[in-house]
Amino acid sequence: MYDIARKFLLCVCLLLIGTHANAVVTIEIDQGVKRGIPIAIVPFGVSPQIGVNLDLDEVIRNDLSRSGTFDVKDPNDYLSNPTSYEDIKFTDWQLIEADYLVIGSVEPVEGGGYRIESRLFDVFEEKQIVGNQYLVSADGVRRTMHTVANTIYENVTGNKSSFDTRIAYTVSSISADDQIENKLVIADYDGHNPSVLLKTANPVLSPTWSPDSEKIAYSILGSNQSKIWIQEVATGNRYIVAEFEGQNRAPNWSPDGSMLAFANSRDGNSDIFVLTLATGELLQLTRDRQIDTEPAWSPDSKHIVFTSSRGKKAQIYKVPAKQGQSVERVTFDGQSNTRASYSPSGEQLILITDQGAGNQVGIYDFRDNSLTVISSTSIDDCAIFSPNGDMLMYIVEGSDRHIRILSPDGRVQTRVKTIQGSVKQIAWSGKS
Amino acid sequence: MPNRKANTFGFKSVLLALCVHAVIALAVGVNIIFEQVLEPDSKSNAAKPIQARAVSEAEINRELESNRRKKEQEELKIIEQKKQLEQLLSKQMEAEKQLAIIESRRKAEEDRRHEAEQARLEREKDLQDLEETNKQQQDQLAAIEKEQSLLESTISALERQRLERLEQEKQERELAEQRRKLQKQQEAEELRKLQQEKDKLESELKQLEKQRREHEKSEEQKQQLAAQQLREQEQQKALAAEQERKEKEAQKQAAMEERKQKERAEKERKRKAVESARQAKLAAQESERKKQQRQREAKLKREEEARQREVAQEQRRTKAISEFSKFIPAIRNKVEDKWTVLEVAEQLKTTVLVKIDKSGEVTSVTVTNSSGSDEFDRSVTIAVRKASPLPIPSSAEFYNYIKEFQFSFSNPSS
Repeated sequence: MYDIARKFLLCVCLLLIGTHANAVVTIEIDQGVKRGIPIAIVPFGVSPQIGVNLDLDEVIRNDLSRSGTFDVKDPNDYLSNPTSYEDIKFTDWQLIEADYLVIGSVEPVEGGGYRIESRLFDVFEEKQIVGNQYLVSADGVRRTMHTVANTIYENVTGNKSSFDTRIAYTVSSISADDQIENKLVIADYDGHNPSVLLKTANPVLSPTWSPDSEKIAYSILGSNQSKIWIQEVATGNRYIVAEFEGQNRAPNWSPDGSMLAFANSRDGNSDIFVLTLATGELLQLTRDRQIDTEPAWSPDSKHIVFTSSRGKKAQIYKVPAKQGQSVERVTFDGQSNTRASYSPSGEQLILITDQGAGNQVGIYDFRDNSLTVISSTSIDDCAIFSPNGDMLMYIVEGSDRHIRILSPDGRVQTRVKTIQGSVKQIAWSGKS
Repeated sequence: MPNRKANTFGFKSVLLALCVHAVIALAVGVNIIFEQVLEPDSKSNAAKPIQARAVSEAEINRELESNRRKKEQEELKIIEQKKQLEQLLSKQMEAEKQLAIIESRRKAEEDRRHEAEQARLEREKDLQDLEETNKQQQDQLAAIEKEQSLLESTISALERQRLERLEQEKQERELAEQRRKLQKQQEAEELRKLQQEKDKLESELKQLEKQRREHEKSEEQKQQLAAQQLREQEQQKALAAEQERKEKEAQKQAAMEERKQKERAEKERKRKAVESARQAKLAAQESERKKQQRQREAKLKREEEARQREVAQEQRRTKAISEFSKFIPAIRNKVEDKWTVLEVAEQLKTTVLVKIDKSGEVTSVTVTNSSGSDEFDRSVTIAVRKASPLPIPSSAEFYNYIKEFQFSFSNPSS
C-alpha cells in the first residue's frame, strides 16, 4: 500500500513536471498587414568639398518606393538626421514607426573618386544589419546608389531587386534637319545614365536583351524587308542574324541565350519560328492562315506564348517550343489581348488588354486563369516585368508617350526619364 | 329534453372545467382551444328563448332536427376537444418523458457525483491505509523497543552472573590466602621446632662443653666435640638450605598467584571491552534505525507538502493562464496589426520567445525556432517589439506565472 501510494505520488509529480515543461503559452499569428515596409533613409552626409547637392539618398528613396515593397518615410518627419552610428537615437525612429533605418555618407578621396558608405539598421532591435563601403569614380556615384538600394532590398525582403539593372528602349524623334531619327537607347532602370546605342533612319523595333545582358537583338524595318540584328552593348558591333524570305520581326531571346524566337511571313502571313543562333537551324512552330506574332519564351524554355488573330480577334496562345506541337489558346477575355510576356516565376503573363476601355496593362494568371487589369491609364503599350518581378514597366501611349514603372499591386507609379522623342518599345535586362 | 340538455350542459361544464384545468396545468397555446370551446356554447344559450316560442310541428321538427344537428356538432366538437385533450395529454406525456429523461440525466449526474464521492472516499481510505502503515511501523518500533528492553535485561542478568563469578573468585582468593597463612604458620611452627631443636642442641652443646670442660683432657672428648660441632654445622647448613628453599617456594607461589590475578584482570577487561562494543553497536544500530525512520517520515511529509504546493501553484498558474487567455485576442490583434508581411513564395514559420515586464512592455524577443529566412525572422521580431506594450491582465498575481510566452508566426498562405 505504501509503495502504491509512493508510486502514485511520483506519477503526480512527473505529470506536473511534464505539464510544466510545456507550460509556455504560444500564441499563433498567421495574419499580418500587406503594406510597404516602413523605412527611413536619412539624407547622406555629403562632404562640403563636393560642393553640389547630389541628392543621392533620393535615388535610394525612389528605388525603394517604386517597387511598392517599401513605405519610405518622408524626410521632413525625421526627428534627427544622423550620418554616423554614434549619432543615432533609435527612439527617434521607433517614434515614427520606421522598422528600418539607412544612414550614409559620401566623401571625395585623394586622387579622385568618392567613398560611399551606407549602413542599414533594425530600429527595434537597435542593431546594424549590414554596412557597405564603395570606392567609385564620379560618374559611378549615382549607379552605386542603386546598388545600395539593392543591398537594402535584399537584406530586408530576402529577394534581389531590379534596382541595378538596365533597360533598353527605342525612341523616334525629328532631327534638326527635319529627318526622322530612330534610336536604340540603354539606361539605368530608372532612365538615368542614358546612352544611345544605335541611330538610324529606319524604325528600330522589338529590342530584346540576351540573358547575359551583353547583347541586344532587334528588328529594323527596311524599305521592303525587315531583318533581325544582334548588337553587342560594350563594343557597339552589330550583325544580321535573320533575313529570311518575308518579314523578320519581333525577336525574343530564349532564357539560355542559344535561340531566338521570332515572327516570319515567308508563307504570306506571319508565323512563329525558332532560330538556333550557333547553327542557323530554323524551326517553324506555327503554321496557319492568320497572323501569329510577338513570341515570348517561358522562363523554363518549354513554351512560347504569342499573339494570334486566328480567332478573329487578337488573343494570346501558347505552343511548346518543339516542332509539330499543337497550339493552345490562353486568353478569352476582352476585345483583344496582345504583347504577352512571362513573369520571372512563369506563373503569370503581363500583356496589353482591351476590355472595351482602350489598351490597358493586364496580368494573366495561369494558376486560376484570371485576367486582372492593373494600370489606371487607358492607352498603354508594351508592358514588361522587371527581371525578378518586383516591378512592371509599360509605355503610356498618346501625344506624350513615356515609360512608367508600376509596383505589381498597382499602388505605386513613377515616370521614367527618357531622352527626347516618342518611346516605341522597351526591354529590361536581367543584369546590370 | 331540457333535462338532457341540462345533462349535456352539465357534462359539458364538467368537460369545460376539465379543459380549463388541463389548460391551466399545461399552459402554452391552449388559449385558442379555450376560445373555440366557449364560442358555440354562448350561441346555444342565446337560442333558448326562440325554442320556447315554437308552435308548429314542422318547426318543432326543424327545431329538433337543428338541435340534433347541433348536438351532433357539439358531440363532434366534444370528440374534437377530446382529441385535443388527448393531444395535450400526449404532449404532457412527452413533457413527462422529457422530464423523466432529465431526471435520468440528473440521476446519472448524481451517480457520477456519487462515484466521484466514492473515489474521494477511496482516496481517503488510501490515506487511512497510509496512516495504518505508519501505525504498523510504530508498532514495529515498539516491538523493537521491547526487544531492546529484553536485551537490556539479558545484559543485566549477564552482569549479575559476572558479579557472582567475581564474588566466587574473591572467596577462592580468600581461601587461598588462608591456606597460605596456614602454610606460613606451619612453616613458622617448623622453624620454631627447629629453633627449639637448635636451642636443645645448643644446650646439649653447652652440656657437651661442660662435659668437655669437665673432660678437658680427654682427646676423645675433644674429637667428639669437634665431630659434634661439625655435625651441628652441617645440621645448621641443612636447616638454612631448607629455609631458603621454603622461601623460594613461597616467592614462586606468590608470583604465580600474581600472574594469575593479572590474567584474570586482563580477561575481565577484554570481556568488558567486548561488552561495551557490543552495547555501542546496538545503540548505533538503534539510533540509525530511528534516524532512518525519521528521515522516511520527513521525506513523506516533504513529498506530500511539495505535492500540495505543486497543486496549489498549478491551480494558481492555470487561473493566471485562463485570465491571460482572455487577453490573447487583443495581443494577437495588436501584433498582427504591427506585422508587415513579406512577400515570400514558400510557407515559413518562426517562433519567438517574448519576455515582458509587469506593464506588458516587451523586454526581450528571442527567435527560438527560425524560419530559415533572416528577413522573415526579423519582420517577426520587429512586429513584436512594435506591439510593445502588450495588453496583459493588470493583476500582480498574473505576472508571477506569465512572465514569458511564445509567438508562432506563419505567413498567410496567399
